Amino acid sequence: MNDTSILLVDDDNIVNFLSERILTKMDFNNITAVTDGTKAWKNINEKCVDLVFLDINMPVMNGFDFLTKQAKELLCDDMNVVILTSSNRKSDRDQASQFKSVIGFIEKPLSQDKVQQVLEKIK
Amino acid sequence: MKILKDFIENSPDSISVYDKKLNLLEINESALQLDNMTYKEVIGRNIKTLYPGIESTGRLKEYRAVIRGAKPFMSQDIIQSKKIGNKQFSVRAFMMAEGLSIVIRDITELKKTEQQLLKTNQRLEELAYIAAHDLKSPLTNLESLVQLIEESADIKDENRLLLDKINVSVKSMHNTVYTLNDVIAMQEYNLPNDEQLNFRAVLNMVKASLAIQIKQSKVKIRADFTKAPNINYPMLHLQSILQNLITNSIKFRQPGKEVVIKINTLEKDGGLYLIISDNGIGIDLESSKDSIFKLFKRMQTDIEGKGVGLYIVNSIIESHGGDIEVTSEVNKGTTFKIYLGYE
Repeated sequence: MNDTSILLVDDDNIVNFLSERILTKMDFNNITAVTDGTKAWKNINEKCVDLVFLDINMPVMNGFDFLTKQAKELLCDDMNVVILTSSNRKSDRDQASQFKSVIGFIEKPLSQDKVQQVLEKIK
Repeated sequence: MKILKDFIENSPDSISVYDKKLNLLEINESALQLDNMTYKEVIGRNIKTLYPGIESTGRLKEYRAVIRGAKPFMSQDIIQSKKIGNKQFSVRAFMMAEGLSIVIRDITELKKTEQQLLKTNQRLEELAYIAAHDLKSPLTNLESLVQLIEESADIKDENRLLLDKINVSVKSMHNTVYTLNDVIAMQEYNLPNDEQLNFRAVLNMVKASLAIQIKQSKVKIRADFTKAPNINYPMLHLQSILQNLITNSIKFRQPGKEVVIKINTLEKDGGLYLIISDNGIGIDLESSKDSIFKLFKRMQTDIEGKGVGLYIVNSIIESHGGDIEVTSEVNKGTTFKIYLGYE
């Protein structure tokens, strides 16, 4: 059992469903899923999580807005964020790497291998 | 010369001719209408009397410079007035024997059309991007879901058949959507070409990236760049041209025959050409001349391909003002002659 707290942020519920399945298979048991940046923000305001899988293109508050807000308000300083997106644009990658909390950039779909690779970085 | 005079008189362009002191010598009907004046009112008058504001705009200085021998003056003016509304004109002033000619053309409609075209183009580009990108997300989900079903052990025989069909459909959609995304990404690159590239060096890079294919099919690449060794072109674009054409030559080789690809450059009338030929199966150009550069067009269904290589090559070349010419003979080979532009 791995009780690392994980927050999935994606407006596509099927993506959240699939990511949760993969992470559950990897023995993570503390997973929450929300569908946009504002909900994610509310969530970490109540309690910080260890790891966030964050989509970029979302309604209401997108991934970059969320990261900007988090950096500005210095909330959950040691939280690790992995960008999980279907965009492979270099500009998105570059912009994401500007944020201190971002430790990885994964092109969808999530897989056990890809999770394993980013987890190596926080060990 | 009556014909010519009638022609000028009836021209939709406003034409007027001034002497060297800028007194009006001749004026046509369109010009009179534009200023809402009669021939008698204006003929022989000085330009400053006719257009009292002309000195303050700096235009008078420009006209005098042309009279003194400067190059023809050209400008695009936007004129707003209650009577004619908001209009745009092109103005051209040049010297003739008699004096200064000024030709004014209403380009309001032309400019409007140009703006509309630009907007339509932008919208289409955006639409293509959104379509290609937004199709990716549900497709990725579908692929993962199908995989999850496959991993679950208990699939009935009849469902197995259906699942296989779903898989084929999903794979075909994957190819289309990802290719579209690649094509759009390639067109997005508004790359600078201020970097001088060495053909030999770029070819070596492409050969390295195709090393496995080249080795497996025992291709001989004979390159000669002595006539034009360098070019100013975006690296990514030259790589893509060479890579796509070499890949095609390998793919469409004649079975049992040694593959030879000849690549050379040449300079003609200041233009740079890249010529790539092979001894492959060739293309029947009679039946497919117009379609070989179209997206998702395949000349061959026995050999795997996506029908995108030549489309990308052609759109890169055209985006730099060049063109591509193809000659081919079935069972003999194919030659691409590419005009890359001026050096």
